[in-house]
Amino acid sequence: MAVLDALPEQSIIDGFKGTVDYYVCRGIPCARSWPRRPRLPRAPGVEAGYAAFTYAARAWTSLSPQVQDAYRTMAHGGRMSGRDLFTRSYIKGLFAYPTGP
Amino acid sequence: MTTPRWTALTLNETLTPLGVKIVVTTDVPCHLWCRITTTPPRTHFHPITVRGVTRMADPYFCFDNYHDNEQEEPGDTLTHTFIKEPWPHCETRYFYFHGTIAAVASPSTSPIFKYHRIQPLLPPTQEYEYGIPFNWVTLFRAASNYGTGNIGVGPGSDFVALSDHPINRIKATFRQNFSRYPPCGLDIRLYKAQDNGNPIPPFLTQAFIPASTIPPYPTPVTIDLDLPLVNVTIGQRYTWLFFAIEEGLPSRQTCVQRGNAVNYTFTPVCNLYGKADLKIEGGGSPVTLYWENWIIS
Repeated sequence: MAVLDALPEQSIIDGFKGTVDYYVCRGIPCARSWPRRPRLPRAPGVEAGYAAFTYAARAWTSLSPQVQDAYRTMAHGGRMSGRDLFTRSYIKGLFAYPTGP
Repeated sequence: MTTPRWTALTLNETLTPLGVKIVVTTDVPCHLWCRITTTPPRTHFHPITVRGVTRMADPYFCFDNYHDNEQEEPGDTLTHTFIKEPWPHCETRYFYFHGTIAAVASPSTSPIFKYHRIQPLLPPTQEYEYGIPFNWVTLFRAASNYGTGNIGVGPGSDFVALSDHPINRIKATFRQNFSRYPPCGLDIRLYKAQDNGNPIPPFLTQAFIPASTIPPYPTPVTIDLDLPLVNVTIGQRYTWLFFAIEEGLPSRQTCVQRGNAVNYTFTPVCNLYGKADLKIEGGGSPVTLYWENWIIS
């Protein structure tokens, strides 16, 4: 990890994508080598999410076009894709407030 | 314990006479509730930092003024039906689903769907054609203030229904009589009929042609008239009766021209097709005819 005086231009950040990760930590611009292989074994909570994440990744193609379009419509205007929103809706839901009966 | 999760696979909305039937299928058996609102959901964004750049890009959704509706099927199912009635025409509603699996609340939700209810399509109109003989001879005789007036309505106007079907329109071609002043409006009524063609009161449906729509003699005119819908039964005999109505008088009065040969000629057509003549002749003026007083000859 290295502390920077300032973040470089976006084009420079994009140029190092996959090698160097630029970020801001508590207001301090930083850079680090990234990605890096996580230490094994992963935390139990992380491992517990593997199955759901894998299932969601595969289930996207089994949705009808109408359902997929609904996710895409909801994702419009943000950085997340419809598929990202589907994964979120499957794992933890899309709404902050309780949705139980 | 594994967190119970599900996902909506398909959605199908079907119009019902009063609302909409929503059917959703899921990948695992679960019990769903449909959360529905007429308020358009709003999308806001939380900040998210990606590779050092913070943007307002993490969406969250506000879904307000909603109602929860439990699925029709009991227990956990793969197909979930929701019948939302009433749902007015041209109203847009937004809904999503949440639910339980084995009575344990699931964090999973569906996306927000949007549906705009439209007017249900009416079945295509089927035309029925009845070959009704043009000739008719039967006369109805009625008392009047000035003697006896004859209004002719005959077997030419009756028909037997070919199937069970509605009648909601009649197309009439006719012309004004040259000697009649002021012109009469025309009252057309449908009755059940006896085998001999005589009507059985009360009338089933009715249409009125105002005198102002009838051009001067001898120009014929064809007018489409909407009728209050009535259903006819296959095999049942019906008959059309035609009344000359002096406008401005009570509707139950029928006026007949004094003198000779006051003739009206009709070719009434419906989705129901038929032909009939109406002759009004003789009698004094005005002649008042009451349905209850008629003697059917």
